[in-house]
Amino acid sequence: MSKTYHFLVGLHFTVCTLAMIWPGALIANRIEPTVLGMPFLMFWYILWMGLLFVGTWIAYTVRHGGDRNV
Amino acid sequence: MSDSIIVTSITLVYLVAVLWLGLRARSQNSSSLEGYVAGGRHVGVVILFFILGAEIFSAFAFLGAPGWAYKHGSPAFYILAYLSLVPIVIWSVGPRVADLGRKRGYLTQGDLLADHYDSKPLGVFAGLIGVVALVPYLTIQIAGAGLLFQAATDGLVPFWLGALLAFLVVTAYVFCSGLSGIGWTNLMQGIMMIAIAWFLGLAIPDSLYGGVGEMFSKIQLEMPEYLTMPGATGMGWGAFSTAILISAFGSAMWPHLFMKFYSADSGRSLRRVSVLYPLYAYLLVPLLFIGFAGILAFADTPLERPDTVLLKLVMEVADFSPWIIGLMLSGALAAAMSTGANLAHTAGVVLVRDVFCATVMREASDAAAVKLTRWSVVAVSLLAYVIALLNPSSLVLLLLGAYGLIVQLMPMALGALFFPQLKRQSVMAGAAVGSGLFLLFQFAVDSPFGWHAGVWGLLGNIAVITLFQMAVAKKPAAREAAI
Repeated sequence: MSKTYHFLVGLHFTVCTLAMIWPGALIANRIEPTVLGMPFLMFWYILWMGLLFVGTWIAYTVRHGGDRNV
Repeated sequence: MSDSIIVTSITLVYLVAVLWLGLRARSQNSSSLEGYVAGGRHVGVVILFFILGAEIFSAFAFLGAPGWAYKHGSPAFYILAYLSLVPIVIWSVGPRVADLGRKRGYLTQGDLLADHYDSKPLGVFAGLIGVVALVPYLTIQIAGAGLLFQAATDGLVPFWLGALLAFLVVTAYVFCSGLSGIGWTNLMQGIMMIAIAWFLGLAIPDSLYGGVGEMFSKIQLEMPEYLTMPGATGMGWGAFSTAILISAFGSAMWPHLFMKFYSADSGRSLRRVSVLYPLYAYLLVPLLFIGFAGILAFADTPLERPDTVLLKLVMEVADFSPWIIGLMLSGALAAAMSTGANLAHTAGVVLVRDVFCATVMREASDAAAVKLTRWSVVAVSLLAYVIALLNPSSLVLLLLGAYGLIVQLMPMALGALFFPQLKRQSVMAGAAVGSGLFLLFQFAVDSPFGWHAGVWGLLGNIAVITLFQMAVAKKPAAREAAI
C-alpha cells in the first residue's frame, strides 16, 4: 500500500483517539443539545464510535476491495 | 421461593446449552498443539469477531461499567472510549503478529520475544508475568459468576456453588475442545450478552422513568453534575485521558488478546474484525443507561457497592418477572464465562509453552504438550476457584500490578514486530526502568498530575530505550577511533 494510504489511516486513528480524550472531548462537554434523549457528551462518544467504524471500513475496502486472496 | 427456582432452572438450561455447544465443537484439530491453541490458524471472521469481543467484555461489563456510571457519571465514558479504540490495535498489530506466527511457528508472546531477542529467559519471564496477571483476572470472573448466581436466585444457589457451576462448564469445554470450543460458545454467549444488555438497558429506564430521554432530563434537573466531565466525583481530564490511552493501547499486550492474533486465518480477517469491532462496543451503551438509572433510584440510600447497581435495579426496584431475572443472570454469566474461558485457556497455554517447555520439558512431543496444556487449564481454573473462595483483598492489587508490568513489555514487542534495529539490552533496560516507574507511581507515590501510572512507566521505558540505542549506535564509531 502507498505511503498516502498509511498516512491517511494513521490520521483517521489519531483523530478518532483525540476526539475521545483531552483535548477533543472538551468541546463536547455539555448536556445540551440532547440527541436521541442522551446528553451531548454521551452522544459524542457514540458518534465517534460510529465514525471510527465508517473510516476503518473505508480503509478496509480500499485495501482489500474485491480481492479475496490477500 | 418458587421464583428462585424458575430463575435457577432457566440459568441451568442455559449452562447446559453452552456446555453442549462447547463439547460438540471438538474437532480433529483440537488434538495438535497448533489446533488446540490457535484453532490450526484457520479461524475466520465471524468466530474471530466473537472471540475478540467476548474476551474483552467480561463480568466487568455487566457489573463494573454500570457501577461506574452510577457512582461517577460521565467519567464512565472512559470505558466506552477505550473499548472502541481497541480495533486500532487489532488493525495495526494483529496482521503482523499473525504473519510472523505463521512463518515462524509462534503461539505465545513469549515465543515472539524469546526468538526475536534470542533470549530464552525473556520468554520465560514474559510467560510468568502473564500467568500472574491472568489468574487474578480469571478469579474475578469466577467470583463474579458466584455473586451473580447468589444474588439472582436469592441465595438458593450459594456463592460457592454458583462459582463452581460456571467454572466447571467452562473448564470442561476448554479442556476438551480448546480454541474451537471457545469460538463456538463465544458466538452464542456474545449474542446472548448483546440481546440481554439492550433489553435491560431500555426496559429499566422505561419502567422507572418512562424512557431513556425522560431519565436523562430528570437527572439533568436534579443532578446535572453526573452528565458532564468531571462527573460527580471529580475525575480530571488527565486521569481520564491517560486511563483511556493505557487501557486501549496496552490491550495489545494482554496475552489473551495477543495470542488470538495467531489464530486468524489471514491478516485480512483481522482487519475486517477491527472494522466490525465498534459494533460490539455499542453493547456498553445500554449498560451505562442502567448505571445512570441507578443515580436517582438510589439517591437517598446510596449503594454500599456500586457494582451491584444492575442487580439491585433488576431484583428490587424494577420488579421484573423471574423469567426476566433468569435471562439477566444468563446474560451476565455469559459475559463472565466467555471471558473466563479465554483466560483459562491462555493461562494454561502460556504456563506450558513459555514456562515448562522452555525449562523442564524441552524434549516434549506435540501430543504430550497438548495433554499437559489441557491439565494445566484445569489446574489454573481450580487455583482461581480456590482463590475466589478465599477472596483475598490483595487480588485487585495483584491484577493491577501484573497488568501494568505486561504493558511495560509493549515497546519490546513492538520492537520485535516493527523495529528490528532495537537491541536486546536497550529493550530490557527500558522494560526494567518502565516497570520500576510504574510500580512506584501505582503503589508507593501519588502519580504526578493524577495521570495513569502506566503512562509514566512507558515514557521512562521509551526514554531509556532511546538513550541505549544512541549509545549503541555510537559505540562502533568510538571503537574505530580508538584503533
